[in-house]
Amino acid sequence: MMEACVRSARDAGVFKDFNVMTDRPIPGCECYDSHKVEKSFGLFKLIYLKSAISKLNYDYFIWIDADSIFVNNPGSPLVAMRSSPIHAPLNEKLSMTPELLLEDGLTCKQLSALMQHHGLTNPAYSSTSAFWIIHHDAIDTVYDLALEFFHKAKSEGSILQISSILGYAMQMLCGNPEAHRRRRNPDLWATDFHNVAPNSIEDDQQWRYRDMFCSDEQFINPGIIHVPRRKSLPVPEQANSHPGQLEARAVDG
Amino acid sequence: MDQFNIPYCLLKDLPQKLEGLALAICEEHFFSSRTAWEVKQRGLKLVWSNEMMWEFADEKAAVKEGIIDKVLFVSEFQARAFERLYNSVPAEIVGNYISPAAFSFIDRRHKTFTVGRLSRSDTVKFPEDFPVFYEELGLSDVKFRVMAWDDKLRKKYRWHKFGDEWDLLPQNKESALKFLQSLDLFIYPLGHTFKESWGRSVVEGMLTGCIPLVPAGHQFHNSIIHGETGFICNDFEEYRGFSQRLYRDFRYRNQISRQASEYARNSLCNEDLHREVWLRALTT
Repeated sequence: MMEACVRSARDAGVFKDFNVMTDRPIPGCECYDSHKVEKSFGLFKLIYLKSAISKLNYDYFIWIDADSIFVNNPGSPLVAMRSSPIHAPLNEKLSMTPELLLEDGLTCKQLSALMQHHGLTNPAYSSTSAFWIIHHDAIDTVYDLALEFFHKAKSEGSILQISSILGYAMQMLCGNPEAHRRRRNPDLWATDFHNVAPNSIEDDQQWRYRDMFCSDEQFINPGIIHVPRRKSLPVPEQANSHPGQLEARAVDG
Repeated sequence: MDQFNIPYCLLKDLPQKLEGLALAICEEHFFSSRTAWEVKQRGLKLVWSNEMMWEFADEKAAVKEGIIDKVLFVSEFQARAFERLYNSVPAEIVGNYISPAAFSFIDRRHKTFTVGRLSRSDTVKFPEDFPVFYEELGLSDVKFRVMAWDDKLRKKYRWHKFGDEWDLLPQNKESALKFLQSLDLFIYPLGHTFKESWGRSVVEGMLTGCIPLVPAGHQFHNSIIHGETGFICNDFEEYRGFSQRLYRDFRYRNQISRQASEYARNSLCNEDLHREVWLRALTT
């Protein structure tokens, strides 16, 4: 999958460095041994962030899940950060769907209460971990905030997933959460929850985004699309299939 | 001390036997240095005021051993935080007194609208997003001033590029009066693990006419009448809304500024009221 993602980026004219944690080489990328990392709850993303990505010599890192494709050049993703040290696209306010059950097993209302109990003063938003941008010097802060929230929630009986704990860290650091909503940056990134987005650069056009719960709709044309519902991505014929699940893209400052 | 004609000496120079009362305020090492025990051994009654929201080292041991005869709190909020520890010790809420003469009011006519804060240079007093928070307020042509900035804060926010609009001053670079008079708004978001027991610099700022915008969930409802002498904000949107209105509407800002100062002078820092409270606290 990662290979298809990188290939689509090159086809879209994106020539920034791709740094990939992988168990086998991928053409056109800087590859690092992914080792065996605990995958539960998605915490491996934070572990890689702290132990591997932080060692790389870049000012900013963009995390892109392997099941993503580029359909056009998203321009400068750093604009979405504003002056925040992290940008993880925020979805809806959790208060919009209080009884909805999240992947953590909590309702939106419960997750919101948990975040606020642990210091979030703004209304809480749902978020993603499939795409995010972080400043190199904020890695320790994000890691500490996220893990601290994870462990505190765990001690109170809730096992949270990466999207919730990363979302917490993001919302503690971003100043103005409303400015970091996904719909504020419709040209940058989106998840195709309903498998309706274009397949490739040849098919690049606006599509009707609907969130997982169909509570948010917007016509968009983002450069990067997270496609978790596609069973396969177009992989170049000469390459072996690649099971890598994560990718870190780094851009210089 | 000289200024107020108060005699003083080192602890070792105090006579071994004394009568009367010892008042100790917010001395972090008062218990861990065993000073509290030495004071008691001399026969003095001990009145103690911590002023913070956390126990100092060995404070609990002193309470258990009956060293403290009376405890003073700066607010109900602080008293609640210590109610379990001090449930068997006589207590009084005395607030905090600031001399209005030391923080004179000025009409604000700054060339550049100025937002800032003054506090101890403790990283927990600053929210994780501090510089972003100020910059996201959406105020154009603004200056941000912070005093008591140090290496620990510089390290905490090393990911942020502070532009020319920022003026980050080390502790005591200016007098508190001069600094507070330079601010239009005292915007005071706090760290998520920190609880403010009183907020001295907020009231000092109010005396000078600096308008406070502070977070809910502390004790500021005792020092600020929301919408009249300042603003207690529940979230970022409220900070932004109030600060933008104050930025745009000079007459409104001027009115709130005067009201804040008058309220601080007449109610929060009323000398006669404070004298009465302190006499009661130290004589009963």
